[in-house]
Amino acid sequence: MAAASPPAVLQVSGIEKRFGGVVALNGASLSIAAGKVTALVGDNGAGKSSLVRVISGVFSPDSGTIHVGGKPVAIPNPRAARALGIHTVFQDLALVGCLDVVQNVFLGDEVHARFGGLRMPWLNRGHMEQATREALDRLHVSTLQDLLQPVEVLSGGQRQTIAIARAVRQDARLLILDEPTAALGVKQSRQVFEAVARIRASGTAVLLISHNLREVFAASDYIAVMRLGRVSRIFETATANEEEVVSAIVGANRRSESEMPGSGTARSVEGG
Amino acid sequence: MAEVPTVAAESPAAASPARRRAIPRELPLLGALIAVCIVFQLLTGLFLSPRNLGNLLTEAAPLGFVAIAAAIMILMGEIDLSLGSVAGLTAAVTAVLMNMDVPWGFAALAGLGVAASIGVIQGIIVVFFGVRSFVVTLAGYLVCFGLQMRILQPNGYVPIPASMLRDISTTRLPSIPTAIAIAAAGLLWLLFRALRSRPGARLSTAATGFVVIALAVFAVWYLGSAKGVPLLTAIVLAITTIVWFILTRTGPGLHLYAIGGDIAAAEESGIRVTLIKSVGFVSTSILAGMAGLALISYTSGADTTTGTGTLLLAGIGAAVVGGVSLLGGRGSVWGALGGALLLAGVGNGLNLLSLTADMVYVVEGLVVISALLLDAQLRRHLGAR
Repeated sequence: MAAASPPAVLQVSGIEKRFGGVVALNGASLSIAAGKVTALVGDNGAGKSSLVRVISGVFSPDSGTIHVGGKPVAIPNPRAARALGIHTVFQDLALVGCLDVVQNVFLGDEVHARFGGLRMPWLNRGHMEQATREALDRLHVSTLQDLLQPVEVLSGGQRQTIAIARAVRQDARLLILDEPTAALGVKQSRQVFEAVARIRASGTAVLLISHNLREVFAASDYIAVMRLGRVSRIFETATANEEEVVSAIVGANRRSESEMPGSGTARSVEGG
Repeated sequence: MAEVPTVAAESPAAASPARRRAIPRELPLLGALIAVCIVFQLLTGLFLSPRNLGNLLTEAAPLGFVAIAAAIMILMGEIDLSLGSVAGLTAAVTAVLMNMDVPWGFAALAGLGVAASIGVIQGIIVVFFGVRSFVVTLAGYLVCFGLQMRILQPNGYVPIPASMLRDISTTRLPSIPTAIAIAAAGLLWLLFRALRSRPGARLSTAATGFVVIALAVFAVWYLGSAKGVPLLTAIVLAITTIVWFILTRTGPGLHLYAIGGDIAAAEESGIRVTLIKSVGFVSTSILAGMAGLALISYTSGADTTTGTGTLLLAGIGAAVVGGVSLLGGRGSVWGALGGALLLAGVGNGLNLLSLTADMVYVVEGLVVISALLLDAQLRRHLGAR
């Protein structure tokens, strides 16, 4: 596997997942390296989201194994994933519009007040506000002054960075970003990728799901291509070219380049 | 979730606090309460008398409990149509047991136990079998109403013997000790907050706190010139405070808001959705049961109309008038309680004007609609949701 040299943070193999008669994952295997950005690409329905949901504990796989830091693990729910240091920013961001920035950053993982070492039933808002501020500062987010405003009034870019800040608030071993820039403009996308670069530099592995090959080539170290429910090929970004990757995505790698749809100019692969 | 208008991160609009802060959802309610007070005082000359306000507060207690329960349900994105008949069934069970010489405390606990188990059953059916709460609680309403009528056979009315439960609705708190207790508790709370917050932070909160304490002390003093603050009102306020604290200051409460606001996001965040929802169903049924106890205390017995009629719909109306959004996740129990006070106030004022009961329903319905229209207009005008 291409990600052989740096240690693998996460290794999944032979993952299968069916929904009724629909096979979402058909023996998917992937290894993700520490301190690297691995891009996961593929056509719609190739199984990217399903694989991400298995790794992040939203779906339980029907079969297959997951290793984190070399040890076999089960990830029955999102809490378990977080406990293993796997933090996911879903495409819908999993932010609750009516809650404020601080409440969203700590959602499902609130910090309780302590009184003489005893955990109180109520929350320590001051601490959470401070920690949220610090997490945003680490990502160099300067456009958010008021952390007590509901996130539904914020821009798409701001919400994306809040979701990322929430994911990397604690020491994340693996950060999964599902289509982080799908709803963003050019400038906001750049802010997101600057944040990704900082996270990568801190030694955290990043799994980036994207349709946008230009972004994938700019930001990733490895490109894993999913097709028909499994990881069909892994490229090293530095030595890969776009045509190869597109062929792998559409499953046309044996055809000549001239026959490929949109060859040469295809910058993104949009499904239906 | 509905479309959210996006503002470019760097635009000046995002930096202006006036645009960003949503207006308080309770604002139209406050205006309506003040308007009701002024109009009925001018029309009757009695509305704001300490004696009438004491009666109004006592009358409003059952509706207050149901409004809080309805608010919890709506906040978590569900609806409970059985609240009224759960109140009625609790009242019937408690009244019948008290007539079998069961001490009132045990009888009341048994009644609340019945209410809680109905909440458990409805919660299980909604949460684990995925049936819409609308349908489940509509069926629950019928079942409870049927049981209530069955239990109250053959007369359809069971009076309760003299007991503390019966006296609760007539007991008034002495005004001076109550006023002192409120002032002391309020000031301690403000001091506690001041010690914990950073210097200079949120001075306006402290100022608001002082105003609230002063108003509360004034209200107690004012009601004291008649008979004092109804004990039932104190109980409603205490329970509302507890519910408010749980909903806004603890993890599970916040999770309840999150579930109502965006259930998919809540699930992805690892919130225990099934647990929180189940607890929500049980606690609202218990609150409905408390409404039932308040009703038998107030009417000295249970009959087949106890808890039925308009109680449920007025409770839901009160929550919505109080700013609890039917979309879920937005609003507060204080708003719901204020909404209950508004509807009870309108009913009370119309009674003072000797308007017949049928027209009271019509006017209450119109009040709910007007408050919602005003709310929608304000929101559109201010560009907030």
